[in-house]
Amino acid sequence: MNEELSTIRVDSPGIRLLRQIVRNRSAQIGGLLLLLLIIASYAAPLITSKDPNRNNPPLALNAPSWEHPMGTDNNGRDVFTRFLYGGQLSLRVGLVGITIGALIGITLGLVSGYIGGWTDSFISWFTDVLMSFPDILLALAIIAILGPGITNAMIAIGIAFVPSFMRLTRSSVMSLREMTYIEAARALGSSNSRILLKHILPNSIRTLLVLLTLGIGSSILAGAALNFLGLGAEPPTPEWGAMLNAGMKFVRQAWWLTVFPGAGIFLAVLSINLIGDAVSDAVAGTTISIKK
Amino acid sequence: MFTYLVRRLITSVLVLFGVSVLVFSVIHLVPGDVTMAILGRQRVSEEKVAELREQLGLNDPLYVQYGRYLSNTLRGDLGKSIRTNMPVSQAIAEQLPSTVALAASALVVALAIGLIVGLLAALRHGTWFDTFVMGLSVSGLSIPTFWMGLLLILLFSVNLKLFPSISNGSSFRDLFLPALTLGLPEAAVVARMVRASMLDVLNKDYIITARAKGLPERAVVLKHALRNALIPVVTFVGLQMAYLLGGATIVETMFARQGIGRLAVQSIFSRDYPMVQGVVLITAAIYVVINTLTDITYVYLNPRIRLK
Repeated sequence: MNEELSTIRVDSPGIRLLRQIVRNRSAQIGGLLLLLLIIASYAAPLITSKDPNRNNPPLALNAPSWEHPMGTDNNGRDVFTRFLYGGQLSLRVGLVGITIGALIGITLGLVSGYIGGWTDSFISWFTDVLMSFPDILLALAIIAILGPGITNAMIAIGIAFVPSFMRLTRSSVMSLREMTYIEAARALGSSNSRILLKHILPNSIRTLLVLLTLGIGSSILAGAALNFLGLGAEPPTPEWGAMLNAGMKFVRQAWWLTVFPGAGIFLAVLSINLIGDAVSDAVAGTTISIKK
Repeated sequence: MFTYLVRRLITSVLVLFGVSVLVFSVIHLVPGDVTMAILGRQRVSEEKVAELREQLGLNDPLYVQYGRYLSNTLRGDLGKSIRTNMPVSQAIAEQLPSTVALAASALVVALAIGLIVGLLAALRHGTWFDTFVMGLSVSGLSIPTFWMGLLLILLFSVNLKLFPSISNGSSFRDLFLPALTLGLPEAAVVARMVRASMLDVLNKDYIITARAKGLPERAVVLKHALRNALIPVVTFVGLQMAYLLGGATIVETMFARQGIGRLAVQSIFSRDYPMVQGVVLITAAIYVVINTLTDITYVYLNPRIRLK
């Protein structure tokens, strides 16, 4: 009997969820696409020996060729090299932005949902206030305070995401805090912070996972938008949104300056949305909405 | 319904109060001395700095400053631009119609395309058309507005020479490309929503009954299914209108159009804080008002929520 039992393998819910996601076709396509973009960006020094910032005026606005697969820009710089290096920053802005939003939002949601009372009312009101600004406008207001720059753009995006994470975490905590195992933990003398971090947070992760995944895509889009508006990376730093902004002035002469950097942003966000859809399917029954 | 209405209005007023506090704080949250941030590196006399502090009302205690800000705002006085000396409310009043025209036409694009495509996808559920539409809508959600705009400029303006790439008016020709840029990604969201909502409704018992009664399919779809499937879409339309006002920032900058979005970006660059505060406050206030009206409409259309 014992031998029989020992041969039955029971995977943890996390592993089962992961397996479900990995088996999903759209997650496979998205994952592959994202992996390619990450490798291309971070292996840029191995793929090309050109300097992304080196001007070469005689080569200005050359159309795509074998030597310059994505053409050259108005300063004669190789667009392919700038595309590869630009990916590093664009992807990083998305990731850092969503991390800031998640850390602050989840913490506020945990505190608000668990403690309740006036604390909850105040945090909820504050979140409602933040939510009454369209995301891009909230990010603009924060940049107006902090000043333009890539770090400030990441902070602005992060803060714009706080309300979504806070609301989702709060609602999850409110449904979990009345569960018997939480009552048991409380009866055993566990501290509030232990209950929140060891019991409530791990059980809220499934719900938050969808927002986290899809949020990375939205965060990359928001970062590229701020860079496109000229409020992020300083020239000549290569970044997809900033490259689009610079290329826009030459849209009549050089289509390649707008098509390729935009395609980079589109493919990165598409790959993450495909994974996000799979995560959403796997975490069935969880319906959330991302405020755009 | 009345109790709900009162409760909802109180919540909105509290949120608007919070918005005003946050917008008022913008100028006080700037790291270091705000007058230095405005004047930049230019060498200015102490009198000039003192004059600016006076103009911004920074010499009074914080609560006095907020009280004055609130009472001025309620009277429609949003201060004066630091750069042009023009009243902020006047600048916004001049630019707002252009933004509203853009957002409204983008909404028309989003609804016209999204409704038709979403409805057809639901009716042809599981076919290649449905798969194609769903694939297209994921792409629509992933495409950056500004890239979409540039691709449309390349096609319609550079190659076909049909529409201008820089447009400032409100005629069909001027609005076509900006509205399409802003509206197409939203059409993807509307299509997904209408499809999901229609599929849900089409499986309901009353639709099966309607079909069993021998009603023609057209009547089943248009009279029974679509009417109910559109209820969640109503909420969405309200939210999207507000969202489009924010999204206009990028499209206005791109097509060099007049509008409050472009005004906000230009004011950030020139550190014109009263102008930034004015634009942010007005947009957020419009957002809150639209949200409130949407919620009330939704409750009116869906009595089950009222009972809860």
